Parts: sequence; structure tokens; C-alpha cells
Amino acid sequence: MVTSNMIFTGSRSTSLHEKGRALLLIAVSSFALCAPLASAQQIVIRLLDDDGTAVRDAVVELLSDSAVAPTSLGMQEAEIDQQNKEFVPTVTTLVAGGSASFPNSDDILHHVYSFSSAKTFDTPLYGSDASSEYREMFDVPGVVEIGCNIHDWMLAYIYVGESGLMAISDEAGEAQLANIPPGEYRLRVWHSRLDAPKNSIEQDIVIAAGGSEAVELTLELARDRRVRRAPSANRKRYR
Amino acid sequence: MQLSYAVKQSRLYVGLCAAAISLVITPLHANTFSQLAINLGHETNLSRGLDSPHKEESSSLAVDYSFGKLYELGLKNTLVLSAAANASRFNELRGFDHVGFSLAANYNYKWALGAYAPTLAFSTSYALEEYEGRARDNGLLTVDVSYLKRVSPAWFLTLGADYQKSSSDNLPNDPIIDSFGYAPDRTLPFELYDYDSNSVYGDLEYAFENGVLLNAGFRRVNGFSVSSTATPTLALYKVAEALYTDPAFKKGWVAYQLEADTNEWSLGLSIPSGLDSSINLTYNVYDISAMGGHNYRNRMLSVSYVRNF
Repeated sequence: MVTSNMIFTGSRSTSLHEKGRALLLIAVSSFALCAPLASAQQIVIRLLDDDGTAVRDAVVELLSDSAVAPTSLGMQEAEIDQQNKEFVPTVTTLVAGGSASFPNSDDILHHVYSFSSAKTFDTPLYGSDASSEYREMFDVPGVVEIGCNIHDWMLAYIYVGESGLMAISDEAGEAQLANIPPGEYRLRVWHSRLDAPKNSIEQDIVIAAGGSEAVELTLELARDRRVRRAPSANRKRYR
Repeated sequence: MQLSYAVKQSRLYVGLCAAAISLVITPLHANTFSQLAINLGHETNLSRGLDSPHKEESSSLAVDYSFGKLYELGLKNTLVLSAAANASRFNELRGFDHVGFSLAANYNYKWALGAYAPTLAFSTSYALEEYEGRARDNGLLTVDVSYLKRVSPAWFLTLGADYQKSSSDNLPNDPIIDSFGYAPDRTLPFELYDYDSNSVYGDLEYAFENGVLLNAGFRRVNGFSVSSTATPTLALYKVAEALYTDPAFKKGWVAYQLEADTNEWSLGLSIPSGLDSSINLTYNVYDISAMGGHNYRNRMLSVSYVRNF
């Protein structure tokens, strides 16, 4: 299941408030019918879950056939640190062709890997002394799930985008896309827990020059794949 | 030739020292870890008594500290070497107070990378327990093989089997036992903790989205049981494998070893109390079916705090 509610607000406030997958199509259609949004060059997309709680660490991306050259928009290099046995940040965006390094700020060893179809790799077990050695190139668009082979609970995602028009939602569930060239786009929303094929949804959008718009989406989330970190009396294993 | 308990004990101490040194000085591709567990428990039938007069219940406090190193031997192989020390103190029953030391090696083979890959684990450990009295002192060798699989974010399955060999020091003649005069043609050994056993077990764990774990487990043990009684009988003498004055209970009590099958049921709740710690509530029921129709039941409720460092 995917999104349920959508509220479009802007200089001319328009709103939809619908629930359920069946209504999603209506919502998507309405979204398309509403386009072009009035004079939007900046969009703020607010993401909520079924309970109305802000959804952080979702990626929104605008896709266009007249693709914007990604190299002109940054997101070519990223750093995913390992601090206190966690990946920091949890979600990173890169444009295809970008690279990420995996420094280890812990005083223990980590073994970073991914077996995602968009990128398969693994580093040797390494500590902070070898932090600068491990950098990987990500040239296939898609989502790369990063784990540590020693600490099963460690999980991070690299969203390798097709365009440079990407943003990650913050603690308020807001993702902002600014300076968007006017045109026709597909808006893609991805979240690691989004209950949809490939954890993402897409819909068409037309953006005109000038102004700003706000879009609110409700996402139906599945349970987290992350495993519990705390030990238990039943399984006192190290990992 | 069977090694004496004393020799095994001294070897364990040497082994502990060697392991401690090796754990400290081997920096290559290994992660050091340690864990503290504090357990407050209550048992309804610590004496494994047949009837009410012989059922002694008690509460206990146990502290267990383990440390070790995890070595990554390859992409799918890890080896964990660890040592542990523990101490238990029982309410009133001083004879059950004990300290313990153990060494363990655990080899894990994962079929793939990640938390969801099935794992085959082989482990062996040797543990020494020293009680207030000598009758319950024992060394325990365990060899275990288990299969672990996270089926989904919520479900985690463990299946396994183990073999245990318990050995104890030769005990001095017990004049009380000698005076019974039962079946003079059959002299029972004194060593209550000389036995071996094997078991199969399974455990299913469910993780709620808030991190709380609920688990249910079952273990079937084919082995032996050590029970205590104030009134040893000829019938008991004839089916017992060992008999000795029990230092743990009231004066005049006798401990005896019987061949027994045990069904152990467990139910646990684990609540995270921090990133690396949890509070655990565990309930165990032991149904013990021993030779001669001696059937016992013991229940144990415990609250524990577990903290990883």
C-alpha cells in the first residue's frame, strides 16, 4: 500500500484529503489535474505517516525527460560515517556516477557491505586507521542498502538518483526542492519503509516558473527492517 | 585415562590466563566486547523434591561478566573467543552459593551477508563451578551446534542440539551414606555431578516494532538429575546413579543422581533499556521424568539486566 492523503497548498490553496489505496489513484489523478501548480519554482513536500507523524529520511526526486545535468547540481560525493556502531547519516542521496566514502570513527572494526542490485561491494574489516581507504562509485540509479557484517543492526541507504533534483525529508517530515527549472516532471517519493513496490511511488507534476508550493503526502509505512541492537537474556550473542 | 577434576581445574586456570593474555594482545582484525548480566531469580523446587516436605524454594542473585574477541575469518566466517566469570548467592541456602569460570569458542558460518542470512553456529565451552561444599563442584564441557535464521524483521528462529559432559572431583567417603547399608552388593559412587547428557532445543522470538522481544523456547534433555531428600529409601538407592550427603540443605539430607529426561519450557520478555542494554523477564518450567517414576517439577522466574559494552 502506498500513499493515502494529499494536501496541496500554495498561493491558491487546494486540498484533497483521502484515505486508502483505492483513493490513491484519485489522488494521483487529482494531482495531475491540478498541474501545473501555480508559479512554482520551489516545492516543499511534507510527508506524514498514517498517524500524522512526520516521516523523516524519505527521499523525494523530480525526474524529467529533459534531464538536468546532474553534475551541475552537486551530490557527487558523500560520506557515510560509522559512529557509536551506527551509520551516520542513515539516508544519503547521490546522483548516478557519484561516490561515497565510509570512514570509521569508532574505536572498533567495521565491515561495510551491500548486496543490492544497484551496487554490490564489501570492504575488509577495518578500523579508524584505514578510514580514508574505502570509497565506492555508484553509477547505477537505485537504492543501495548498506550494512555492517559484524553489527547486524547497522543499516543505511544510499539513494542513487537519476537527476540532481533530490532532497531528504527532515525531522519535520519536510523535503525542499528549490530552483527547479520549469517543466513537466515525475515526482518520486522513496522511503525504506514505504509499503509499495521498490519502496517508492511516482506521479506526474508540472512546474511553472516562479513562486513556491507545498505538497503534503501521507505514506503508508511497513515495519522497519532494522533489527534490535540491545542484547537479550535469551540471546546473549555478540552480534 | 580420565583426568581428575583437580587437573582439569588447574588447566582451566592456565587456560583462562592464556586466553586473557591472548585476548589482550591480539589486535589484528578483531573486535573486543564484554557483557554484564545481573539476574535475580526465584526457584520453586531447587532441591528437585518429590513432595512438599522436600521442595525447597529459594531466591538468588547472580552476576555474570564475559569478555572476548570476535575474529572475522572471512566474509562468512567469524570466530568468537570469550571468557566469563560469574557468582551466585542464594537466599539462606549457602550450599548453593557458587562462583564459576568458563572459556568458550564459537564459530559462525553465515550463508550470506546481512542480518537475514541463515547462520550455522558451532560452539564449545568448559565451565567450572565451585560451591560452598565440594559435593556440587563440577566442570562442564559443552559442545553445541545451532541453526539461526531471522525469518522476517519480527521473527527469529533458533534450532540446536548440544552435548554436555559434567565431571566432579573424587569425594571422600561419606560415613552417613555408608551407614545406610542398602544393597551391600551395589556400591554407589559419591560423585553426583559425573554424567553426560544431550539435548535438542528450539526457540522462536517475536520482535514488536517498539523493540520489545517475546520468545518461547523448548528444550528436551536426555541426561541426569540431581535431587535431594531427607528420607532416602532402598528403592531410591536401587535406582540412583550416585549418592552423597547434601551440604546445601538441612542436616541429614542426601543428594542423589538419577537418570532423567527433562522437558524445559521457557517464556521470555525483553525490554530495551538503552541502545545496548535490556531488562528481561523469564519464566521457565522444568518437567523432569527420572528413573523409578520419580517425576519432579521446578519453576523459575527471573528478572535480569543485560548490558553490552
